[in-house]
Amino acid sequence: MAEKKNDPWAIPDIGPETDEKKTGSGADAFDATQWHEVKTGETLWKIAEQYYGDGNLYPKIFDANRDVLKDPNRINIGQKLRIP
Amino acid sequence: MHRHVYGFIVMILAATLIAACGSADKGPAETALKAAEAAVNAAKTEVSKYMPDQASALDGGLAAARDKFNKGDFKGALSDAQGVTAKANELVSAVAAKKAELSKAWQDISTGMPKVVEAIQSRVDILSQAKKLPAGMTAEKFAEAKAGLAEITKQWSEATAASTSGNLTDALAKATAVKKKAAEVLTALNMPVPEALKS
Repeated sequence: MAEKKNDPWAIPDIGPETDEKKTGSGADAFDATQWHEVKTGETLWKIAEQYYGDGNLYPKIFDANRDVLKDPNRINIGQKLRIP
Repeated sequence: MHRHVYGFIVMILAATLIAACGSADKGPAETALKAAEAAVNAAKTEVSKYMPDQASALDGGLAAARDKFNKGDFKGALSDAQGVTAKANELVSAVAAKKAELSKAWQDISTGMPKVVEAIQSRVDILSQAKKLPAGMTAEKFAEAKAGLAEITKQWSEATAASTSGNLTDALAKATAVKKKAAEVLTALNMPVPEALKS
């Protein structure tokens, strides 16, 4: 369980557990969204470098997370960000 | 002499009785055969499409019933023809269930796959703008992923075309190939592989 929590590739469990989620069938089972949980000392630039190899592409992550981020320079530890 | 004549008469009567009994079954057998033919004709197209192995069983059963009828075994023909009719009706129900199952599977995949393709396309577009690729990804690996995306797009349009033409079995077979390829591409791009693509 703890391993899953620390796995940067893990998809966070959002919403109630349904039969479709349990069996892996249905449209939800096709969700390919990649999530990243913000850790101490990370910035959007560093996260972009990790996933894209180029920190200058951080606006892509910012744009995909405008619902939770207001300022690209302010991210919080434990925040889950979509990586487009 | 009299004994011989009586014996002969008894034999004739017995033969006539047997023939009469056989002839009594002829009409019902003929009707049952016609009903069986109609049931098989009604079921055959869909059964051949969704349960091809069962279609030959229907044909075989009907042929056996006809053969018995032609040989004068009307009781046997009647029984076989009734069995074929029952089997054909049973298969019509089974085909309907199979179609519902395939439709549900296609509905899931046709709703889900575009999301997967969109995620891959988005990552490929972003990585194409990167001055450097992320750790663990080579230019060759990225080129393979891009080629894989093109293949997925082509195979997916073939799958949807098969679905549009009503061939769900073919559409799902093609979609399975798309799922496999998409899982490979996602892995190459260091992206998570959704549950539905793992089976």
